[in-house]
Amino acid sequence: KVAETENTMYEISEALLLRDVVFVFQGIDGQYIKFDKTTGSYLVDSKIGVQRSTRELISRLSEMGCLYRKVHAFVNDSIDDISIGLVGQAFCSALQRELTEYYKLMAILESQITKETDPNLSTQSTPHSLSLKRMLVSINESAEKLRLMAVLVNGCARQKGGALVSYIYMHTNHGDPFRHEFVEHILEEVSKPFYEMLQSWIYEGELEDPFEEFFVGCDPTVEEEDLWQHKYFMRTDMQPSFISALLAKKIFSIGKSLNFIRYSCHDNDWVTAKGKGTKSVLKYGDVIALEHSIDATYTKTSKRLLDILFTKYKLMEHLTALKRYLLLGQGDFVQYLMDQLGSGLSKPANTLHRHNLTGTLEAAIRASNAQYDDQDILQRLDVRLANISAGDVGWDVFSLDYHVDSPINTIFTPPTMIQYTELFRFLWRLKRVEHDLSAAWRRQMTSARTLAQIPEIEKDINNSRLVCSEMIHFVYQLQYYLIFEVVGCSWDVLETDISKKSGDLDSLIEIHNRYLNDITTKGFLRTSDSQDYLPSVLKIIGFILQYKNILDELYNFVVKELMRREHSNIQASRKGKPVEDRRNKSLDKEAREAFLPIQRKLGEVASNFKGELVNLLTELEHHKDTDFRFLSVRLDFNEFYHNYAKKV
Amino acid sequence: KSFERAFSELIIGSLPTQLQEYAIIEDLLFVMMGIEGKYIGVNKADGLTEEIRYIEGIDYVVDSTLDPSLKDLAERILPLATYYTAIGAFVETYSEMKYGFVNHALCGAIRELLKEYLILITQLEHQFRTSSSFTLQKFWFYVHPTLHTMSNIHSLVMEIRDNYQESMEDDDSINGYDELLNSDGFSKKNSIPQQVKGGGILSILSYRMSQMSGDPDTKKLYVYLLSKASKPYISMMHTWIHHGEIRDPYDEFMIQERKNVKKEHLKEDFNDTYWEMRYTIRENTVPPFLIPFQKKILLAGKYLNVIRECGIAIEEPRKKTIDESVAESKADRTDVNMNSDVLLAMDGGRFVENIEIAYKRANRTLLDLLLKDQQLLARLRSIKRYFFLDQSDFFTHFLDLAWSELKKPSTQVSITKLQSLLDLVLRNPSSVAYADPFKEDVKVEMSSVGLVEQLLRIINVEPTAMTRGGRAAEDLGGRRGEESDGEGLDEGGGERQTYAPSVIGSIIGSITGTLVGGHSTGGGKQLTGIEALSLDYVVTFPLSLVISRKALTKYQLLFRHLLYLKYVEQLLCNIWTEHFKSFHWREESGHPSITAWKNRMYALRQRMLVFIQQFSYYVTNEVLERQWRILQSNLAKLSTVDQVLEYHTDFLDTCLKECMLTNAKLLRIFAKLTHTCVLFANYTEKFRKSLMVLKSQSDGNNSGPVSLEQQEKTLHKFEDNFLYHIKLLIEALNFYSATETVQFLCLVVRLDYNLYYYNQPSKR
Repeated sequence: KVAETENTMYEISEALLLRDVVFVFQGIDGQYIKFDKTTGSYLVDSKIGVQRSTRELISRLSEMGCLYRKVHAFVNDSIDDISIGLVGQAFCSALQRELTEYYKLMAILESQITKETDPNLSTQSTPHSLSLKRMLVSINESAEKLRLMAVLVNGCARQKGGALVSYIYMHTNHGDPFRHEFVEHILEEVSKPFYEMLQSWIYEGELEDPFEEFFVGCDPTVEEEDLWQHKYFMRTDMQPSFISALLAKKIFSIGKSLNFIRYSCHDNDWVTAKGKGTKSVLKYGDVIALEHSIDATYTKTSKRLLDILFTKYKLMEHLTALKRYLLLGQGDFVQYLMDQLGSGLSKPANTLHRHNLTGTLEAAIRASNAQYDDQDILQRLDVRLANISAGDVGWDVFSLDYHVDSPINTIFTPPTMIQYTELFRFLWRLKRVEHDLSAAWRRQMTSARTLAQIPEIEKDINNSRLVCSEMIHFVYQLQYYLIFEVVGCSWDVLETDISKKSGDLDSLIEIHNRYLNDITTKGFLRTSDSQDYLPSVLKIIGFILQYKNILDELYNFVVKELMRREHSNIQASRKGKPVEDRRNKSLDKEAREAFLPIQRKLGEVASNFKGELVNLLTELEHHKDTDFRFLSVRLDFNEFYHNYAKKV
Repeated sequence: KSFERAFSELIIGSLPTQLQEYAIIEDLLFVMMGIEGKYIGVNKADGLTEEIRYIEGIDYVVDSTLDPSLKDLAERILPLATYYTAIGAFVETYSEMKYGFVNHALCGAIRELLKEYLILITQLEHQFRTSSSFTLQKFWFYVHPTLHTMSNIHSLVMEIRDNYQESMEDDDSINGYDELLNSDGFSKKNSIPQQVKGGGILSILSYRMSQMSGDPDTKKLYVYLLSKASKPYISMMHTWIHHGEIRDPYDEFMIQERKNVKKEHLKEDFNDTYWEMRYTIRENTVPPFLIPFQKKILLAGKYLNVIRECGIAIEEPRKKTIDESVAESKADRTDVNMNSDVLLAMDGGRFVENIEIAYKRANRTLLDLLLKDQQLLARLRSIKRYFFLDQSDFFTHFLDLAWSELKKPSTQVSITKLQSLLDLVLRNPSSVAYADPFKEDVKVEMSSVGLVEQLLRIINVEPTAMTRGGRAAEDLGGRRGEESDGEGLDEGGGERQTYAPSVIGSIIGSITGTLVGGHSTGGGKQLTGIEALSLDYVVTFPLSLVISRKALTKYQLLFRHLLYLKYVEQLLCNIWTEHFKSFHWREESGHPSITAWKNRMYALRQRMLVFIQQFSYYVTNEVLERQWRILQSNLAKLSTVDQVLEYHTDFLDTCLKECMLTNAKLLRIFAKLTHTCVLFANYTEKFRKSLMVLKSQSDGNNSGPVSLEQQEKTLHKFEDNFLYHIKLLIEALNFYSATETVQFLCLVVRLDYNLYYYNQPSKR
């Protein structure tokens, strides 16, 4: 052991050792006590005669020196290094200040020692004179502080900004009031730059963060168009742990809203006025007060933003317009449009001309109650023709369009507008089927007498009426479901959610997205799971359209046949033959040949329709969403298809 | 120099006593700081390891050659050194982060004391250096009071350490259970047992304080330590009772929050887990002085949490309101000796008032939320409308519409269709229900178990269950349990479920005797739609605290009971219509025996009808309506939220009990009775056919396949059965009115107002 080689004689007076110790406290080698690199601590020179107990006492004291060296080294290293960030700089300055305190203590100790060793003064020690033991007591508190600082310095290497604040905050979780207060004191200093950033962010919407220390980041390359969605982002690792995720989100939203108001809604005045207005200075300590002040700012800013959107930019009017025109809410307008366009859209797509269509649209607006709508909104309404591929007819490419510009395009983003268009096309298709079916029904009714003249096809005609009414039932129920259960209910939810006017733009966007998604999922377009009913529905619609075409063929055939009979009758009467009753005349061979394929096709398509519908119903019946099950009950209210499926 | 060297190598015993004393004082001063002296060294003879020595404090021995009397005196002082080292070691270890706030604060307090101790040493040193008259005796005199304090602290420290050791040893049993409950995923290996942190430490302190308060110095010491150590705990409690938050990174607070219990489960969960489990008191860790308040503390924070979960901000109570409510609450304070020393040591006893205030405030806020914002009363009224069928015009309409669907076996019924029909009925503007704002929340449901069977299961399980609420509830939810496989607990449940029907089967078998076997309560029987029909009600948080799954199931049971009564009544009324309208029944047969047979049948029908009608009258007017009134008047004078829960549960339980749904025997008899009625109703068709045959036979006077005797025998069997069971029921009701509820007597009077059954001779 070292002790054996140690000189344990009483050679050095305590006063000399004391002088050395004061140097050691400041990291300077003393005359007898030197820093030993191998053990990393201060040791009394083993050759010098110092009592063993005193040596141990000194080694206890000299722990301070080691701690001091550590802290001092850290401060020295970092003070010139700008890259540690503002928070890091604040940390250094806080440490510096603590060290100053420490130097002050050293100076006092020093003066006491010199007083004692000064031979001019009386050697009689006063009650305040120092000994090594007394020294241990008087540095007790400073030692504790130094120890804590050393711990902080150890852990915080290479951390900056919010992470550093979090790290120091972690150390305030100590029940010892002394430690707690000390760390808290340091934290208060350290977090100052952070709170300044926070302040400028929530009051002015500015990011003053040269070292990326704040938990909100900005991507300067993003265009103003995408300001809300992409320009700002959160840096979660820089989020101090005493700021909860919810609070952080609010803070994030406040600044974003301010920027949005300023740059997208062009309401700079309000922001500046607000920035100048009363603002409480934020600092570390009272988290609850912070929460309150942030909550207040949050509600104020969000409210302002929503107000601007709803009044200046007429958001609600836009939503209503989209529902009225793109989701076919304005019945007379849609009817007129359908009547005017119906025939034209059956033509090949490349024969359509935009100007004609816009003309029709204009006419439809003029002819319907839509004309009383806001000019601004009507101007946004337009016709869109999708990319034409070979073989497309007008129905495939036509859709209505609604122009949105900044800033409301933050809510009506291109993807959502595509969703609207999809919805429109589906509803439009359904409307078309309804239109066709009612045309077919009209023809059935008007030509009932004519048809009765050919008794051979009476059965088929009757059959086709039944099938038609089945189809009409299907289409009407589906339309009812879409318009009332889907669009109506979702709209109601949307309205109540919006009328609450709580939350920020993000929640507004979310409400709107939910509204659209509800409609798309429930309106068959996209179900959440793998089951997709859209193809099935489209197939059924296709069968109905086919059926209608075949019916037209049938009528054409009947007309032709009647013409032929008329003709032959006229000829017969000319030749003086007796006029045959048209009723009794049977189809001749040629006519029968023409009729047979029509009859066959009618039966085929009708059974296809029924089969597909039964398929759809069975699938809907077992869907987990009650709305779908309701639809299946609605479509099959008297279990007609249920029994049909059983029979098959 | 050489002298000094020689001096240092001298054996101390060989020095003059004056010098010996001088040297030993010098050494003692070092040793008292935990530094080995020249003549006083570490006692290495005890063979302890470094670690134990570190923990228990270093034992020092004095050079044996020292003057014996000096040596004795020195040895008296030496324990101080041992205490100092042990305490120092304790402070060092327990200041580590993981030991929790209370330990930190305690260490902080002890450190202050140690500092004073060090100052004492320096003062002694100073005396020793300056005054020539400073002797070992004087040393002892100065040090003596401190020795007492230090030994106290030392024993405290040792007790904490011992507790730690102990609790680490039976760690497996306690922590294992805890881990199971927590199941947060992280291992608890490194955590500190509850006994030696937070509440545990405070318990030790307060216990020692009350044990040692005889000595004023010791008492003062503990008051000091307790007041320091409890500070973090009190502030934790403060945030809990005023904000409902737990800021407890070291798991030391008496209330435990289980983050994995979410309010979203509440709708599905049967056992009120959210309310019971989300926040729980850590048993055995509540400091004894807080035990009188623990319930209030728990509830105050819990209520605030409910409020916060609803998205309402909780405000800091204002000073003024505090003072006001202090004045208010003076009257009904918990009976605790407010001036007990322990309480005064902590926060000057202020926290007791704080708890009262916070409890009151939380209660009031949550009550306001439930009653005003959530319209609890309107909700209950609406539930009553749907489940207890008051003003139920819509329901008759519904049954008419859905009759074709309800006739089918319950498995083939389309719930969607029923639901759409119900919606149709509820939205009909001519119905009373149209004005109900909550009508959208009613849902149709199909139960898979018959009412009586389900009830019997519950009853059978109940007596064997350890905790009434828990187990019964679990089995109440048996139906649910089949759908969603339970976790672990279901093993027992499954066993019981198979056990229950078999027992019922045997009991029923003995009772029924002649009756067509085990029809109504047999397990395998397929239910018809009407038997399985039940309603459900969508309840959202925080109302689901009151109207929980458990409560709803009780509502459902009562609803099905009522529905079944209505159904049987309708069947019997249909017979009545048949008897009065049908040609066959009305026509005088002319044959006296046939007329008598017919009359007997009419009489039986009438008896059944009276029974069912009186019974439903009893259930609706004398039980449900009456209890509802009581509930209403109770709810009008509420002061705490738990009262709401209590009243509501009471209400449901009493209803169930007075409707005889909780007594297996009564229930079985009732089931037999109604079953007889249903069978009778179903048999009418056959009776009519045989009547027609009999008539033609009597006209033609030739005997045929149907004989009057045979018919009379069948009818007799029905009569017999009915009579037997109704007598049984009346007897049983009389019997149980003494043990269960007096309300049954009302029913007895109703059923047998003219002592008809009483006078009937018992036939079996």
